[in-house]
Amino acid sequence: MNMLDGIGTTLHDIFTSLDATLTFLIISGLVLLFSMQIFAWVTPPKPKFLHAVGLGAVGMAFVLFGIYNYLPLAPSLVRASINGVYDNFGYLWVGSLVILNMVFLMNTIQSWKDNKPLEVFQ
Amino acid sequence: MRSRLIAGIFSIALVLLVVVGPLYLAEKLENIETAQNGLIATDQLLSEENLTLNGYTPYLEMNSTTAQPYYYDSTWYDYGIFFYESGFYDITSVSFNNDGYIDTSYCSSSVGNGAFLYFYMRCDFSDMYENDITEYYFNMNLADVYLLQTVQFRGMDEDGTIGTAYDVSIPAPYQVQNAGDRTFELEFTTTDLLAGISACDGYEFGVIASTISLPVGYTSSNVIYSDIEVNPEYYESYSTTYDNVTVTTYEPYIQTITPYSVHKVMMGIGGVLIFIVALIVSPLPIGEKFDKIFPVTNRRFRK
Repeated sequence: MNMLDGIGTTLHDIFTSLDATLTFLIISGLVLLFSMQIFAWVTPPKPKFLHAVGLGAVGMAFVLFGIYNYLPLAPSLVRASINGVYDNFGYLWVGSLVILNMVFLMNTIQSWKDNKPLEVFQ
Repeated sequence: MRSRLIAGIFSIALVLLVVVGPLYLAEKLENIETAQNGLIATDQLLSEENLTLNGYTPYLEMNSTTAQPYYYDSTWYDYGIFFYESGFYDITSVSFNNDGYIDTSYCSSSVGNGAFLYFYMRCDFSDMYENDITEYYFNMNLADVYLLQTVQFRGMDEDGTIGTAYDVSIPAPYQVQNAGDRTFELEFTTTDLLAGISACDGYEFGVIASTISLPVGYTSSNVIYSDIEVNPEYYESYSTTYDNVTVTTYEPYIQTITPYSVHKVMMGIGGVLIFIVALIVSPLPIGEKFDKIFPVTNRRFRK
């Protein structure tokens, strides 16, 4: 199986059920925003917002590929929590991840308005 | 620039700590919980039962793209894993956790229905033939069974031909809502070289152990462990009667504790920690309360 087949298989699985899709969105959101922060840190002073977005998206693609191929338990854990495998504790855990994503999104929107690089932490 | 880099590294470490830390700790605590549960080590069990694992040569092949079933004929008592393509998808990756008694292996299929991961073992049944023993039982204990609807057991001839599949359906309540260990027992009456085979059409499960049980009186040294795990630690033995034939089965002690009890609690703690971090980094006014005690928070958005 070549790499393209693997990507196709992964995408097929991600979008075949709601819980898998939600898992993908949660993980990709966290990865994207962290990638954006990292590139905001290492790029020249005061880069514009879109710089971090573009580089962050590329970074997200690579990291997501690595997670789904080499750390398959990570999405499985999130997916299991969504499905109630860990009862209310799992719901709390995955719910907190969603809240963290929402907070990062709020920061992103603010950064977009200011046209500044995303810096969730300073 | 340097201070920002340090703050960034610290930030990532913080998030990783609250996301991954509780789960890592849960693994450690579960080991402790098991160790305190009156268990005996495999070595001790083997000594008490006068068992030997002659030729215990685990063979693990990971991340294989080989789609054809095959077997190894170098020695008896081989253990291993091979991949069989169902015609729809390949197994994308397999990872093994060999640090303890649980979660010995995972088939992560991310492939939906139709992907099968087969675990096999080979045994020398010549003694059985001599004793006219044509009936035995194959047990496989699975962990982390969720979203797994059917498990298949099949025999495999010496030439690699896969025999008839025996499907064992998992009760519906366990398919999605519950994880945990499930034990499946199936009677084989063939005298062919047996391959203990498991399949998954979900996307994850762990094989704790699979055993072949033989009638009592049969030399115990021929009771075959087929545990995929390289370093099994804890097992217990018990006797069960099947069709008036008492057999001894060895199973991991993990079944005596509540699966995931620690995991659940630690995930809850992790959830609370993540929620606190979300408040800290939040642009909401409530985040200001953390500014003085947590200097790397995002004050710029609150200006």
